[in-house]
Amino acid sequence: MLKYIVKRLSLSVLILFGVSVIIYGLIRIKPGLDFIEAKYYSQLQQDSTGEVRKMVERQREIYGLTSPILQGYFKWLSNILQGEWGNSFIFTINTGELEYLVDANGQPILDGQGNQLTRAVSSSNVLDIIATKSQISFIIALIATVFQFLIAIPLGVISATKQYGIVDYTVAILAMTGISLPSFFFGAFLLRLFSIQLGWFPYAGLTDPNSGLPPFWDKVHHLVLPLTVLIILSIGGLMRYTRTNMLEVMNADYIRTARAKGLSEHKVIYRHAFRNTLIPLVTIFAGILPSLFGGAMITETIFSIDGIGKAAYKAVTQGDIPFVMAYNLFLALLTVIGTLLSDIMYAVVDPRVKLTGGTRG
Amino acid sequence: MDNQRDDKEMLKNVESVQGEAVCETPNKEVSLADSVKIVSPGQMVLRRFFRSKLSLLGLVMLVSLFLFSFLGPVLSKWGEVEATGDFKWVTSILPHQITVQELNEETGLMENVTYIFYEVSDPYKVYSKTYPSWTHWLGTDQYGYDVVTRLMYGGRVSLALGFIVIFAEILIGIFMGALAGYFGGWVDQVIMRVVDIFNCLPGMPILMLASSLLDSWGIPARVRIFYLMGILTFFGWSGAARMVRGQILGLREQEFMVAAEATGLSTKRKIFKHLIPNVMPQIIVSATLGLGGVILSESTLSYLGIGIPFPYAAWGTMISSTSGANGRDILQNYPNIWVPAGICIVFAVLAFNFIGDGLRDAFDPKMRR
Repeated sequence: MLKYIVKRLSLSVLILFGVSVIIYGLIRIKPGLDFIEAKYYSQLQQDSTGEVRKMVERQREIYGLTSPILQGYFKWLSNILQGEWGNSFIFTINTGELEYLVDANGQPILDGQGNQLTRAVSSSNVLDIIATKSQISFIIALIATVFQFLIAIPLGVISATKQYGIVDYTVAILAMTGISLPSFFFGAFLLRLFSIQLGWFPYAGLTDPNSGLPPFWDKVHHLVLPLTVLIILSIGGLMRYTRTNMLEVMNADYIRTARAKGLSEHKVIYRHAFRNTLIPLVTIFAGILPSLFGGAMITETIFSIDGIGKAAYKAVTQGDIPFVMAYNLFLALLTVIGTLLSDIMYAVVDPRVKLTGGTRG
Repeated sequence: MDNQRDDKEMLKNVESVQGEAVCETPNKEVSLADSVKIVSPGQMVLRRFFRSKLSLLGLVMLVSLFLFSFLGPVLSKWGEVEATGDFKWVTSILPHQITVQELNEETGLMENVTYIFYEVSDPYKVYSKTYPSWTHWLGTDQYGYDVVTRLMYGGRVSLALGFIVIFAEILIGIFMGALAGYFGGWVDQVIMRVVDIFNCLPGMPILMLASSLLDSWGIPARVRIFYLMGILTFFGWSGAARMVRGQILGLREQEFMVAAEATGLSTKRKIFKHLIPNVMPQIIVSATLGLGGVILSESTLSYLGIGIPFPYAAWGTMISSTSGANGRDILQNYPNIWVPAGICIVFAVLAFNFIGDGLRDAFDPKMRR
């Protein structure tokens, strides 16, 4: 087991290395001005003292843009490994800490009442921004995931037990429609119907000071539509997966045995069959981790939710490359961890699975 | 009644797997040759496929979508980029202000005098959005283009792009997967690690990065779609490769491969004549299911403005008119411009999902009903 985990961890490092090569390569093969020169273009034009030029060169140094692509990559990589992920061009957040103001001599600056003046510390560090912005996305995704499981698994079980019945067909059609809906269309459609036409739900954002609701219910009120999009779009996959697993289990010998010894159908399905369908479900965790922390780019943008997905969208469209690179690496890291976790979980819940140091089948 | 038919079918399937020749309910005095009907595996799959109502529905949806997209433009009165809606003639007026020094005749001094003059442009047409009418069944959009015609051309692009991308992905996937699965060892290690890397790349952000590269390369609008296909293929082949490899790993150990080995067939022949045809069912299923995914990716990119470029039509672009500066007006008042495009996307993806699901059940020998 330990040997397996060590082996998988070293493979994960290799995978992340490859991902970073591709991401860095995508940034570097852009012709013309690089992203830092493009960002400071107008300032460079008006630069008479050469200060801006110096600052730009310093920044280009950090991303290895002054060296050829290969050396540049390793320079950037070593900065990343040392925790220097760079600063976002467009986002700043308050870190929540306070900085005490001091004058030139190091003496504290006091206001009229003799209190020391403070200033909120702001940060543009991409890691800080990812950490802050992913919180709201995480809460939304967590709620959506809980609902997704609560709805999809029973539906999958029911449609498997009533295979080729009316229920099965209805659920199949609904689930497939959910998978086939593009988030941008479904989101716009819900907004048009429930927000503009019927006025039941707010149009954008997470809070509205004029709503007259307590803060918590105001948030819930704002979250109904985005959550609907997230849930409907994700139910289908899980439901089909549960159904397939359930069908497979229902054909197993021990189910026949259970029926033969005269158990009630209810007991057969929920005690014997359903529990065993949960085993393959742990592989789902591989996909859940990135979606839990990585945000939903388009849904968040449509509903103007200030999470990490919207930030990523804004960053890509406005050329905030430091943030984009960090975000992509963050997602890749989540995927790698998720895959690893789901493989280990598989061995934990299913005693028949033995993890060895050998290659994966 | 249905059950009886099912049982018969089951019996037939079981027998045809063994002998390909199936005894169909032997009648009393009919000669053996008449009573035996050959059912090839292909026919069997087809029969099971058409048995499912959902896959039939998917097929009907797909065929009608194809007719609409590829035959429709021939019958349509208007072109893809032909402005035909209501318009007003508009002239723009641009004020200019200049200051010159002139001699004031009363005082005899030079003074600054400001003149304002207006530059009036030639009249040009401004199109307005219109509601559905008999001439334009779904109205016209903000550029005066007929929405139905745009839907047809958008369907052309989406379907053609989907098929080409999936075809290319599958080709690469088969090649890589077969190499990895057949040879194993370090070949497998190298290929599968590359596949892992591509698997871990975040989908949409990377696609957005790559397609925004096209802008900075200055790719002309007409050929941009080909580059888009390249990008979608490049970031999409890994799933097919993994699937093919998994299947081939299982098949490699089977007896028919030992037989192939014993007859001294060349490696190429063993892979392409013996292994890959056996993986074909899974490949076809995953290609059909993947097609929906490709269409969704393409329309999302078009929605974000980095897919199929204006003035060419794409379903995603038609929906993107609801976002942006004038979006609220279209979102609120002109559902005829964007809702049909969304329905088309759902329709197309759903059709492929239904067909893919039906094919999977039809190909699966365990799925007897």
